[in-house]
Amino acid sequence: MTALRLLLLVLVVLGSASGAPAAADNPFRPGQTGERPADGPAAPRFLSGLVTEVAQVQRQVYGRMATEIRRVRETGAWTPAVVLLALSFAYGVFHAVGPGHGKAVVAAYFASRPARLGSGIAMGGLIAFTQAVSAILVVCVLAVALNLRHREIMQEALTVELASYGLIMLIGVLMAVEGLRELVLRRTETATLPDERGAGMAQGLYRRLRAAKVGRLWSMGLAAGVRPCGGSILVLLFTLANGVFLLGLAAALVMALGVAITISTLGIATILTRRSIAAAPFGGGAWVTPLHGAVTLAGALLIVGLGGLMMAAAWERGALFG
Amino acid sequence: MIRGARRVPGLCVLAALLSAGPAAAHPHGYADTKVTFVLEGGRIGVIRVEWTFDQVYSAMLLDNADLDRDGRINEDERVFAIEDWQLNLEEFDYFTHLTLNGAPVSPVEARNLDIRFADGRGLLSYDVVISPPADPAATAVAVGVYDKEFYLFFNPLASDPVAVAGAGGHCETRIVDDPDRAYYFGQVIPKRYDLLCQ
Repeated sequence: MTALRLLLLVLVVLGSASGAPAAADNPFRPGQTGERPADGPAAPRFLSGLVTEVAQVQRQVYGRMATEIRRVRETGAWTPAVVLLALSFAYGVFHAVGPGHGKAVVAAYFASRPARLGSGIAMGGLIAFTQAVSAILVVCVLAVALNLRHREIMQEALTVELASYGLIMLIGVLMAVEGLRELVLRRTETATLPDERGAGMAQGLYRRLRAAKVGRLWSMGLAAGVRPCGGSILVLLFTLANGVFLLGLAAALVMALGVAITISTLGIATILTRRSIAAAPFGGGAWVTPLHGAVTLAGALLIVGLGGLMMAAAWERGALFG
Repeated sequence: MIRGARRVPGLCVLAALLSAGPAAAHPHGYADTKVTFVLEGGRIGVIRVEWTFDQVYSAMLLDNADLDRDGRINEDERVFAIEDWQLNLEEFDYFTHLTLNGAPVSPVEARNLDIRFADGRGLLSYDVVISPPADPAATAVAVGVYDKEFYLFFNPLASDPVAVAGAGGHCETRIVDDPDRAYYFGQVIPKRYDLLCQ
């Protein structure tokens, strides 16, 4: 049973990367634009329909948001402003269901390590609001203060995006080192447990590791969130152009709340999945401990890989028509 | 544990669903498309494609094109914008996926690229060239407009999204889902515009 659970756990960690962008399949690379049906890792067909539907809903909500923004500009009334905020919330929820927002990183993070449910909520909130604040800062500095063109702003945003992926990779490396240390520690512990002093030392090291993990959650949330939400930037620029920038700021924050709910749901789902699979993480035979450490290590390496792939994809895409 | 284990499949599906596709390229712009198959002397040599961008994306395009920032696009600015778009779109085959009897045509050749702005919307149009013109009764002509990176999300225009213009042939059109060409890691199903002639 334990072996089965661990196998499932490995599958969840690997599955969290199911939608990883394959850089080799990037259609934006010159010479890669040919028609190649079903390229890259394909999602199950029922998911295809679902993602298309979500994109359709996004499109409808987005169109309504723009209409309400123009209505506020034209009438100065409160009702369209309130409607806009409600739409922004819905847009945040659906926007984050679509690809992006570092969800694979979140899934890999929580699939590879035990965590409290609160951590899932904290991670979702942290990423969403950091992304919103990042977008607001980008627009305030580049558009309001420096009066740059939209195209230049999107290009600058790309730089921040690349930096975000670099940070994700760095944290992945740190997590991998941490995982390795944990593996070595547990092995030492098994060898020297009868010695009280040795056990005490091991406990001290565990405490330090746990503290490091809390910091890791924050740093991962901030790293994944530094990438400004492109949708927020565009909405902010649109409100700026329509002379209702303050309303845009409110909309960006409400949108972040929607994004937070979606990412937190993913985090919690991953944590629960992991828990139900690995309910007795270290209770099995002697071989279980190293295997469990290996899962943590695999998750960390996966995060490094995901960061690299996202960076490569963003690099090749560039600030398209932006 | 057994109770927990029962939840596993459902949660796995949920996790996979939500985690699918981490790239930061979810749609940032939306465009509605209209496709017109243009017949001449019973043969098809041109497919006219028109995009209408959403208001937010249009505002960005307008800002980029309005070089002197006087709030409108003069002729020089329009010509400059068209050249800019031409270069960009050529590289991506105009996001237009043309097949003749199921065989993809690449590179896609297009002419008469034009950009206009009306009522806060950016309108882009171009003519895809089929060279030499094909006999539509003997050739299955199909075209899809989609961005495989999912940065732009295209949809058929709400009213009259497809038409046949010109003389010759008894032709019908249809718009269908094309799941065989699902893109963006197989997650998005594009629409395909078919020309069916007798």
